[in-house]
Amino acid sequence: MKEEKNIKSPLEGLSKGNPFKTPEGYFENLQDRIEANIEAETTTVSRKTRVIRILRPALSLAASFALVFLLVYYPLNKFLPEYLSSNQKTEVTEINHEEDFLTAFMDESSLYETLLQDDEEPELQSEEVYALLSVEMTEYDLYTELIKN
Amino acid sequence: MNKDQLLISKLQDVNIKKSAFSELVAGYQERLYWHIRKIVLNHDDTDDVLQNTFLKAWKGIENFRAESGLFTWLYRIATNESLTFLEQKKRKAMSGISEVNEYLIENLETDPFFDGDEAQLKLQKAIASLPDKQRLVFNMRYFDDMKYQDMEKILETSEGALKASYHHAVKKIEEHLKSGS
Repeated sequence: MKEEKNIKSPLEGLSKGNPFKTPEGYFENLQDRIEANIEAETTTVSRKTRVIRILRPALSLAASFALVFLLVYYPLNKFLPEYLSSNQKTEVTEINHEEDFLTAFMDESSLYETLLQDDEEPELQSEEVYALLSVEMTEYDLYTELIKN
Repeated sequence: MNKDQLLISKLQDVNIKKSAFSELVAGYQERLYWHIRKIVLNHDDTDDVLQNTFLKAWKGIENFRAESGLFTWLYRIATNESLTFLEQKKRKAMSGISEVNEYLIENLETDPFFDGDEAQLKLQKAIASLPDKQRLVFNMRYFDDMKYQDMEKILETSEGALKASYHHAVKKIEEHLKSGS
């Protein structure tokens, strides 16, 4: 036992000196870098806080709408799906009534004619086009001639 | 009111917080650097952890209660930040590092700012192979001659447990050094 205690620890012969070093001048500007880092962090945080403060009313409004929607629509959809679907059907019928009202004063053929009338344009025969192009005319004459036909 | 208490009251006053914090940084930056460096070993990692430590201190100073001294409080932040950093490194490591110890040994071998001789490198490798708690206790006791009462507050562990950790650490290091690995 005594012998065991007398055995020298390998730690005893070792230096307790610091084996690590830092880059040259590291501690000289360390304080500035730490303070700059804190400054940057504080600025970013306050900017974030400002944006949140600006957006807060809009966000709370949106959240309220979402909440109301969830509180009303979801239970209705879940427990009274028939009620919702009948409501949707009524809407469609209402729209159909509106269309009926608009078309009440004309029959189908007169509606078709009215629609065609707007799109109809006078057709020009190829000989006429050739004749028109071959005559020496100003752009204005050409235009009036076309209008006449 | 002692020097620390005076500094704490200045730090908690919004109007003079900045200048008081400069005083705090000036007083503790080197000590904290070396404390962190002994845990994470690499200079660049130490610099990152030190920045985070002071940032945490800046953010938390309003809630700081003077029951523990400034020194204890800062050392505790630095220790926790260092261990968290190593844990994150282990998780992010792409090179198949499974343990913090492997990362530390790799750090030692590649660190251009390690200036020790072969025996010191061997000792540091032996320390790096220890579990976190034993490594912390060994460094604080062996290199910094810190009292167990101070360590107790920083590491929030009983004196008995700290003594046992130190004892186990010394035994393991001696074995490591004798084996020559």
